[in-house]
Amino acid sequence: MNQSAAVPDSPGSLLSFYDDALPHVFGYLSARCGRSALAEDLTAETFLAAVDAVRRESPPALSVPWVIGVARHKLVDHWRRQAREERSFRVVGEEGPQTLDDPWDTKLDAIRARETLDALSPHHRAALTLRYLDDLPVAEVAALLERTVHATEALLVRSRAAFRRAYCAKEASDG
Amino acid sequence: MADPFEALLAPVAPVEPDPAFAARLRARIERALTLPKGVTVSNLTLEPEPATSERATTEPTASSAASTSVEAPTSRPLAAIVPYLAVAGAGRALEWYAEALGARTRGEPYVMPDGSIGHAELEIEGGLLMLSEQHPEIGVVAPAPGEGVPVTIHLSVDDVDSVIDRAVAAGADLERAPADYDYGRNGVFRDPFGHRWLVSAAPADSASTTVRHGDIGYVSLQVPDTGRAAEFFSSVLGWRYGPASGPQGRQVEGQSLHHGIWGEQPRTTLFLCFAVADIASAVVRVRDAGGTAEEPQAQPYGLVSTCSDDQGTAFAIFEPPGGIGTGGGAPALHGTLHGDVAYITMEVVDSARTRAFYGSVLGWRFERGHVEDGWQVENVAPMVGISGGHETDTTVPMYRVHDIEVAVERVRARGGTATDPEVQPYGTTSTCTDDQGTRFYLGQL
Repeated sequence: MNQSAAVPDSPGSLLSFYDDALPHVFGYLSARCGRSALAEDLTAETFLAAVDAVRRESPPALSVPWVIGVARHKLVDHWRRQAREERSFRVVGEEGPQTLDDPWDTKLDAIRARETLDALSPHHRAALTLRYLDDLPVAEVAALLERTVHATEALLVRSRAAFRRAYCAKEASDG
Repeated sequence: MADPFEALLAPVAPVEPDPAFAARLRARIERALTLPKGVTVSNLTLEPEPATSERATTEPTASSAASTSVEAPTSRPLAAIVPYLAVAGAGRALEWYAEALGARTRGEPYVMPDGSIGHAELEIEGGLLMLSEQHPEIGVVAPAPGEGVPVTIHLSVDDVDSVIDRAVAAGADLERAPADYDYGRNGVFRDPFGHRWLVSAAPADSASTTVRHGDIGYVSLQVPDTGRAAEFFSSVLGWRYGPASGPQGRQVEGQSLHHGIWGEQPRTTLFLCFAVADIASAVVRVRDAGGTAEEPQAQPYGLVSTCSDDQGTAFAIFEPPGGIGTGGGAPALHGTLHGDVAYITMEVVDSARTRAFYGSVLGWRFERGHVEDGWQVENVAPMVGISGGHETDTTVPMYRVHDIEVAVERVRARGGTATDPEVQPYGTTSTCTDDQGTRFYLGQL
């Protein structure tokens, strides 16, 4: 055991950062994955990853945007796992006929939009969340999803179409 | 026309989580920060286990641990005797032992109505220590600093000097500076609560860790055709085998964990054999917990009992010759060599039953994992995860490889299946089956 290696880097600073950043991380995650047990799990994963990060050779500067970035990765990992469990992840590229991305003139109802997102498949949900809820440029969405920009654009087209279908169906059934 | 999707924009708005959750996570972070650097805390939990092909359900077969040849697996001292310290100011002591000795609290300390610590458990260097506030009224008295003590706590470490330096820097009194002796290097300090510690390292040539109670000492892949499996894994993982004693079984040689292949099995799984300190009492615990256990048989590698758990899954337990704590190497947490077992996932129908059973038989404790109904077994080598909610009980190994791209190609070339390698927090992995449908994972860790 090496003494210097066993002494954590300023544990106090990470703990006080935790106190400040926790509501932001939990707020970010619960707005994107709803179920609070899941949001709690991902919040825990996020901060444990932060513990690892501050214990590395060149620790990052602790900030809310940085830790939200970590949380976003955890969210993407979650969807990736979920997609894999549903065995849909690898067939995304081969799904159904190409959908036209024609203009859609509507004003989304927030609650219905939320419910629609929740019901989408993980990869559609991931794409739309990163692009629209997080307002990330397509290139960043592509990097997070480990796809090419071209493939991500195609995924976004399909995701919008899937959202629109589900939203309209919901609208019809909700009346 | 505005894009309706723009209405989805959701800027980060703070939301306070459940205060109990916030407190638990804070405590967890605090503990994680006391771990040595180099220990990655974010993957100390069950990682996602992708579902792959489903297999026909057949009755698990009693598998033959007795056919396998485990060579004298070895052990580290089992905590049958645990020091239980009485401390004046136990709350401060918990903090001090964490700071000065890197102690990690095991479970939540029991706090008395008056706020004092009624019971707490600490893990230090893999050993267990219990402590509570002193209770002079019942004769449980903390040592008075500066006065004598009847008991010294012996702490085995790798680096005596750094441990003592750190303790002294945190306020311990140095009683004897570290020095070398025939039996290793050691030194003595008194902690601020009056307890006396002898910190010692074994001489460099002796193994410092040994197999523990509850560790896995032997595994065996259960497959339909032994010969095919042997060829397949030899090609993919470079396994070599000892001389075959019959067509049904093969022993893998040269890997860190004793590993066999056992054929003519209708369904594929990984058979596990656990080290126990005392086979007779372990047999009783298996039966009490609703499992079955055969009478222990003497084998060259120890006393072995073939068992099944309360859900019908076969396993075995063994008591090493000479008992736990008789030298030799412990299984590595994640393997070390190419082809080693890096991780074991027990997919089960009912994880609550599995946890209750193995908790009671082996003393396993569990931490919640990342995935729903996923559980990490604490302090077991190789590392084991339990994943509930499956249609059948199947145990799936992950094998360590140097180059996952090469390994994946070999799996495919040999007629197996392998998913494209994916980056996980703990390494790059692929989900595979061999040419007989045996499931496994590959991990470049």
